[in-house]
Amino acid sequence: MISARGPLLWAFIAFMLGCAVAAYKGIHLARVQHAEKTGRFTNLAERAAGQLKTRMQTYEYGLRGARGAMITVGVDGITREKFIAYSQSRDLDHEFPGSRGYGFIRRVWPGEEASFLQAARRDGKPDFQIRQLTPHDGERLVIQYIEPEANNREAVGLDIASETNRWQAALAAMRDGVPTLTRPITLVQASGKIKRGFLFLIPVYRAGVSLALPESREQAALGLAYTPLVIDEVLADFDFHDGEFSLALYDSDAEKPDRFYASVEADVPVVDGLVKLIPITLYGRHWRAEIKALPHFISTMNLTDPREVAGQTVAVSALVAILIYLLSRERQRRSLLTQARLAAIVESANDAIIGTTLEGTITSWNQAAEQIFGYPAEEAIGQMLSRLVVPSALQNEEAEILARIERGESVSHFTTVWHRRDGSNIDVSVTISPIRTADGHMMGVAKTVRDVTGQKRSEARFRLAVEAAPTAMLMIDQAQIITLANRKAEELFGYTGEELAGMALENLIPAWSRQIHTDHVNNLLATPEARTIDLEFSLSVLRKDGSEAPVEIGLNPVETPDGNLVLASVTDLSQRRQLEQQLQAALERMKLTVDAAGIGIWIWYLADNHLIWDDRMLEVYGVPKALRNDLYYDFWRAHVHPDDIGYVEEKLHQHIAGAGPYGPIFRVIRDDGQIRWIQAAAIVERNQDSQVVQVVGINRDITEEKEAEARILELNANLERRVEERTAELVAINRELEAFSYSVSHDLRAPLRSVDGFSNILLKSYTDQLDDAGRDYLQRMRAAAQRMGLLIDDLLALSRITRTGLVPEDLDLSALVEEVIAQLREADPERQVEIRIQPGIHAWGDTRLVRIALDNLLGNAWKFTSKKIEACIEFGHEEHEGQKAFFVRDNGAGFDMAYAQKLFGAFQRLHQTKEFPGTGIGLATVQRVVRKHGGKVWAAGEVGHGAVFHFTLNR
Amino acid sequence: MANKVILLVEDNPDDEVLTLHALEMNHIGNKVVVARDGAEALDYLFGQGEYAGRNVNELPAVVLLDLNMPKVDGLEVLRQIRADPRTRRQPVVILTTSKEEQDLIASYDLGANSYVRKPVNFDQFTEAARNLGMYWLLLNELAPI
Repeated sequence: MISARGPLLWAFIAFMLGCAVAAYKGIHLARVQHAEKTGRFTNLAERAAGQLKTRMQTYEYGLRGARGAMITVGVDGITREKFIAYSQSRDLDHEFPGSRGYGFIRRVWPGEEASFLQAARRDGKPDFQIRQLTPHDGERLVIQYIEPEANNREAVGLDIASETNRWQAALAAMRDGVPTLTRPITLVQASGKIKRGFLFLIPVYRAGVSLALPESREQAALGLAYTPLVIDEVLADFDFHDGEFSLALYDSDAEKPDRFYASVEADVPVVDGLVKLIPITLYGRHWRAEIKALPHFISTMNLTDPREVAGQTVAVSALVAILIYLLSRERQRRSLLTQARLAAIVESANDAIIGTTLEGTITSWNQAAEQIFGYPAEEAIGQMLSRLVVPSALQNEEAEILARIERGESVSHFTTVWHRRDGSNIDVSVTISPIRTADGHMMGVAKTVRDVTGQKRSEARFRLAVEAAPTAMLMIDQAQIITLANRKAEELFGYTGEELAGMALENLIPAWSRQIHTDHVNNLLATPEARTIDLEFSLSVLRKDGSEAPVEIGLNPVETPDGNLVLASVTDLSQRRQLEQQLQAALERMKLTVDAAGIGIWIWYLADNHLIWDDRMLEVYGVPKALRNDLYYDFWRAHVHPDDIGYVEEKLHQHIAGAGPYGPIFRVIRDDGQIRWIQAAAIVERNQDSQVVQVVGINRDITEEKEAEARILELNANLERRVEERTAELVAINRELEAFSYSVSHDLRAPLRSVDGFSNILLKSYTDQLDDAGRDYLQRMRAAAQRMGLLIDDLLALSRITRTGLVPEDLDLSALVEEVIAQLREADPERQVEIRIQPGIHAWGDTRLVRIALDNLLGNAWKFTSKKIEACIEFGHEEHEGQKAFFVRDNGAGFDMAYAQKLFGAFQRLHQTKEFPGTGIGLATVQRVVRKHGGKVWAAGEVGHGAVFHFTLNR
Repeated sequence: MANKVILLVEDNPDDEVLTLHALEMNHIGNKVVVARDGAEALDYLFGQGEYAGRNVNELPAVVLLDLNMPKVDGLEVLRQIRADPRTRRQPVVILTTSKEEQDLIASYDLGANSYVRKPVNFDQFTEAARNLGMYWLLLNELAPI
């Protein structure tokens, strides 16, 4: 083995050199390739971003074109027809691939909506409607045209001011006067593309108005030309270089960048770290394009794998190494040099081993020394050690140590600071051994130097960590003396760091708990495992000012060369205590609320089916308080109504399984026989393993509510039944009334006809056989029969009004009155009556019925003026208590106001039949007609001076 | 026309007398056949029952038809007249007491040629009979059989 070491070493070195070369070549190649890839990828990504920008610009040209067309015609002159014509002059698919079309959004001020709608409907769109996504009262921005409409039907009539994102972009466009994009939105005509659409808007201004300021621009905007875009369609023909990269787009104006587009492989892991985020500022939006290289990108570069190159080099060096090994093995086998061995040991040591003369001149300098101090052996040997590595400030120390060694004193190890070739300081631990000649004469010293900088640094780091800890930290030694305290500890205890260091722990513990605390610390020092002192001990610490603070203490043993120390972290609980008290108070308040609401609380432990019920639960279930501790699930189960338990348990089990809420309503049968209605609710509580440990819930007694509900239901049912009964009665009565009217019409008139007819025959054919009295009686019979015929006819007319429905429409009352008067004149052409009719009086009513009323009123006026020489009848209208009242006035016989109330009753007459004929049903008919219209009728008059009848028609 | 009969369908004997009297007063000389209910009227028209063997091709100049009648009422008579190819062009005048809307509508819907309400006042009734005679017996041209 020993003989093989030399050649092996050389072969190994050769091999290692080869490996180093291989590694270098590999790394270098990889670096070159990486630079090439990165360069090409950056180029690719920027071209892609450029491609996107260019695409968006084509839409801008489209918008400007549409706006130009509109300005040429003038916004007020644009019609659907012209817009379609313009649209058809463009080749949408080739000029603007990905656009859904171009449209015009008209600005409509709140007051102009009706006239706009009218105009839009006249403009070839009779069913034009304004739709809003959220109702609002401000100005409308209505999509009036969008062509081709087939792709965008849902958008027509949409008020884009009714949705914040669209409205903001439109307002910005109008104010800034530039093309503006919305945030990613969901287009109404592409509702499947959630937040992947945009409106691209450009304002259209009134001509000849200053556009200098944002305010004036906003004022001057008449609307906007726009195009709806869906990002997927915009990028449908995007050049992805056959899958060399993926693209994702984010809207970075949102609080959280919003990804609104991702190409197919956007979420594939990044290849070789080739990902590029390119900010794109577009028409008022800030987008970010995330472009990632895909494996296809790498494969198109045809790169040689650096690992392959390195592997080949390694293989060559392995061959060389084997050759060297074989050549030198023979030679080396023969030279066995102890010195070499020693040297090898010295060389291979981790510590610097430096030999010097007594004067301090360096005689040997191993590899470790080279590494630690940075001087190669050739340079160090022959130099004065003190000059080479000892800082000038410590020159004396070095000299003193040398002197001591010279005197034969033993100097064990010491730590000091030397410095390196680069001037930096280094903490070292130095062990010195004299080198003596065979006769014992000291000829020099050997210094073993260890770099302890790391050790020192970790100590410092530890201190820093302790210092930065968010809780108070104390380091305590075995004598329970504080050796270290951080700033938090200073804050907590009120002592300075200097005061704390060296203080006995005792001083920080109040007398009453000193023993407990000391025991714990001792325990821990004996059995060093981390522990937290139990909260139950209610530990307190004593501050400098004498006050106590509740704390939680965590103790950690720390092993150091000086023995075991304890690191105590002390958490101040004052605040937590306060929170606990607040929580407790809140719980109390909640309990009061729960009590007041009549809610009982229960807990069900699944392990043993034990139940805990509060007083309210016991009360509701009628369970004596003595049983409080003996409640189990089965007890509850037995008290639930048998018809309800199945459903309730199903709900409960579903809830425990996490398959739905628990909120059933069920009945409970108490031991005293009472049935109570319960509304329940529950939540499950689980342990760390998600197993249900207990269920906590409430029961609310809703019996009274249920009973009230049942009463209301019953009342409602009764009411409905009664309404039905009444309705049926009314229907029956109505039917009877109709049958009655019908038979009156037929059967009552026939006998009258006989009376009149035969009287007539008697009078005519048998007149010779009668004297004057006989003929007079027959005349009276005839008159009576005819009068009864009239009565029957009028009664039937009256009842017909009650039976007919009302079909209201717009009536020209003046014209109706003219007609009635014309008929009256025709029937009585002899009479001279002055007629005054206010023209153009309209009302809302049923033509037939109102005509009947007017027939009666005007007929009366005609009749009662028959004895006047200068008869006058007037029709008009006037205000009465804020309503339009119509009137018929005459200067005829009039009536006594004392009887005004009786006028409208059936068969009420104020005149002798002989004087003025009539049945007394006319005004009753008028009143019925007017009431049917929801109006009223009233009369005024004076005997001999005429009468006036007013009426209103409310409906 | 003068040789054509008038078929009066009337169940009320008073009305029958009065109608005949009114026709007479107007010197209408046509023979008046009186059917006292709807069934009898149909028998006459279709030559069945009491009128079996009558030449049904000899249609009346006009049928004066009352509506409210026992057994077969006027509307049913009218329906059957219009349903039968032999009589469907027969002039039928509804002569009744009622002027209820439902009767008017039903009559015209079933193809009545005219609707006359018997007035209570006999003078007016006479006048109506005169007009009827004038129109249906003198002015109106019947469809060829």
